[in-house]
Amino acid sequence: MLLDLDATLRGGARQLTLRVPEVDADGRLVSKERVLNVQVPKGILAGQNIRLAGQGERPPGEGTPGDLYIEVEFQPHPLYRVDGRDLFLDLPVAPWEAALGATVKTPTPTGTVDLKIPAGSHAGSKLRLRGRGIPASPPGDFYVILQIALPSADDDKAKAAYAAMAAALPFNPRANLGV
Amino acid sequence: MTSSEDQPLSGAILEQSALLTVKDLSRMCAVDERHIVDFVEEGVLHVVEIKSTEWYFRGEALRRTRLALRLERDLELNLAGVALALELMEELERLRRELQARRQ
Repeated sequence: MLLDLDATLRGGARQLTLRVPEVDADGRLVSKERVLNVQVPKGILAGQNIRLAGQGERPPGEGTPGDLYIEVEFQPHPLYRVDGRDLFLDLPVAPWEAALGATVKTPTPTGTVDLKIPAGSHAGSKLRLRGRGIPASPPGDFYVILQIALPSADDDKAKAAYAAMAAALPFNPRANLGV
Repeated sequence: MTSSEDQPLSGAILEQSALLTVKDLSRMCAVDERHIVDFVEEGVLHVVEIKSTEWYFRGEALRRTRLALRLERDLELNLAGVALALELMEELERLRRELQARRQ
């Protein structure tokens, strides 16, 4: 069953369509569609199974139906990447936010939070919000990976600001390439 | 026939509930109990607990058993081949995660 990530973050019901073999009135084996409305347990992880007691196949003749096991996978989420119980978000920040530190709005599965970016952060810096990943037991963590977004220099003001920075900072980004 | 209950069906997460026996796995995957025992002997499945001759597996064993059976059927692998394929798939998965973690 392919689930949206919200299903495990918040729990909730999702529809699942099964194709099940059945014997029709003429004794032929046909494939029938069965739609189940399944309550997704909050905190389920990819690869885990939901066990639905008594929802499995009914054995021929008399007999109680078996259990149904639904293996869960997640659809890619537009913002978050999933690794086990942890979630990852790429968060764009302005160069000055990374350099000087800042408090910025960050989306998390449980709502927007104010995230403190430490001064001296760089692209790829990883900030961890403990326990804000998938609410399994124990809950996963939420990782924010900083990406530096550059303002475009398409007007004179921006160009002047870049030029002032170039003049003020003796900075060679290729120093460790030996050039 | 299409049936959909108004009340959603609730279930537990198998991997967080009780341990599974040889009988459970054989029933869940529709194979002989002997087949499950063969998987254990070949190292495909791992017993986590033994209580008075009964073997117990973690819930994760269901996924592994299904995968092993699929490898046997689809690729016509023998037991040793299944064990090797699973080991390589796990190694690949571990390396992928490590690579992803390094990139992050």
